[in-house]
Amino acid sequence: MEQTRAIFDELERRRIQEYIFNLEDIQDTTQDLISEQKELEKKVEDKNLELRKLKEKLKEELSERKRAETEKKNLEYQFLQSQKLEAMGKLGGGIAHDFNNILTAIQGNISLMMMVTDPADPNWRQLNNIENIIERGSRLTSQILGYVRKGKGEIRPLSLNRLVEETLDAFSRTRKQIVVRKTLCPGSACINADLSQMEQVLVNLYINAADAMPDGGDLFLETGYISHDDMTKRGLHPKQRRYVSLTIADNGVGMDPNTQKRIFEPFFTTKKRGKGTGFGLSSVLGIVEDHGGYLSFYSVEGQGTTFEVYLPESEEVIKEQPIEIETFVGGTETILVVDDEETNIDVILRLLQALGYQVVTAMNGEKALAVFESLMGSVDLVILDLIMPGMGGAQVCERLRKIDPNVKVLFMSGCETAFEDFGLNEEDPKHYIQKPFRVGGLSRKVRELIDTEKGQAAK
Amino acid sequence: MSIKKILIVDDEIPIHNYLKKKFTKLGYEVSVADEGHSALDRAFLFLPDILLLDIKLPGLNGIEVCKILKSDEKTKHIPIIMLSAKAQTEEIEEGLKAGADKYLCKPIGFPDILKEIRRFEDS
Repeated sequence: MEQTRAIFDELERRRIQEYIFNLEDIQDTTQDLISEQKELEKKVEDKNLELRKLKEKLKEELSERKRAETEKKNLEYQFLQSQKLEAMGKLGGGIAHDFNNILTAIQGNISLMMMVTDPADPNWRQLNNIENIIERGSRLTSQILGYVRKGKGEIRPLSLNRLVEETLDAFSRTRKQIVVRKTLCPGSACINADLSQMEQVLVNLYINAADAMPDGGDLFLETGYISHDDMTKRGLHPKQRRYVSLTIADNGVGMDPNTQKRIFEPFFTTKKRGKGTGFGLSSVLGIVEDHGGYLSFYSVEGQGTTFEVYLPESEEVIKEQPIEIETFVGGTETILVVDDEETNIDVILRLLQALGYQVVTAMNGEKALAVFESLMGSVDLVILDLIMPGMGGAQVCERLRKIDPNVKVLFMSGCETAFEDFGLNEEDPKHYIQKPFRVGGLSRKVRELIDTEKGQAAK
Repeated sequence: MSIKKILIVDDEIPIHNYLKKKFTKLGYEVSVADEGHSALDRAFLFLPDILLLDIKLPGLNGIEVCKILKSDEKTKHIPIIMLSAKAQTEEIEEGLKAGADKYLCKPIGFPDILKEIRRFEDS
């Protein structure tokens, strides 16, 4: 009995042992599975993190690439623009040169006619009118090519108020459907500026305003003084000084954002073919900036546009310009005229002869040098065109000085930028005359140079 | 003493498989026998650092195996833990008399077996 129980006990123990190990094994396996799962979860998490980082990196790379592409496009665009500008500049310079030469010939002929016409003669007034028209034509060249702005402007103190009055007067006569409402500040609102360039700024802004109001509207004009602080508040970074402000506002069609972005681009215009040159605002901006000023604008589509011009206030006092009475001063000296344009040579020759001078001419640099040498010592002044085929004016001048260091030279050119382009001394404008010129101006320049002490003229 | 090699002697395959798996996992070198004669062969060849020995075996039983090993110069130093379902006092006494260093009664959990082996390691 005892033995049977022991056997049963042993069997039972074996069975239980097997269960226990089985159970332990299952527990172990479960534990292994759990830790494996945890490990997997961690791996998945790590991978996810890695993926997120990669995604982030990819995003950055993408936006970087996008940015680079935009920058590239912008640069290409800017490059194209500057190429266009350069081409236009060259073309513009050429046109100005030729056009001014033509005007010179017309002006010379008019001067010749006026010299022999009594101011009481009814024709004298017509001739005088033509002279004024020629001046307008000459102004037009610089206006059309306003952004080829290196031309020698004549900077002097001007009253902005007076300028507004004068330009408005001419403008409002042609735009009767526009009602002008102006508020001018007390005083003269004095600025240092080139008159014709400033006129160009104002007229361009008037025209744009009027074009924005094809069915009529109000043109608001306001001048005032603005402190440095108030300018800064408007987001500008001006110099420490007081500025004169000019506001030109219309209640016309306004501009959409895309147009607003491009208005200062040369060639950009919203006007019909033949109506706008695409230079108006780019030249306005150029001129204002050349004068140390600032230009800003805001526009709401359907409500109108406001332009604000800020120019440094001048501390100088405006001298009233006396009405110029053309005075001619003549002489009997010998003058050598060098110009490649036959019509110009002809008219200058006759003008100078009419003033009493002995005149010799040459159509190019080589001939000029030959003539000068053959007349050694008897030429009192050389009038020299700057731009000529072959040897240019500056080069001719240099050769002349080798022959005679005391030679007196008066340069002339129809190209506004020529004076600087040839590296001539712009501090000394008495050696330069801009085509087209009137006989009075020419006669005074010639006299002044001839009368200069020898050696002084040929600096 | 340091224990690296374990010889497991048990005729029940699930048991010695399980023990082998556990000890191997812990880094021990394990050898297995499921019968008395082969247990002796393995003991002499393998020369384990410790022996886990069941009593109920085909061929030679655990008591006999223990006696032989404990009487041989080559193997008498090997600690022998008897692991048996025989739990009667006389049976335990018989095992210890045969030279077993420790007598463990089945059923027993692996942690307890390991504890005993560690005890030999510490001594």
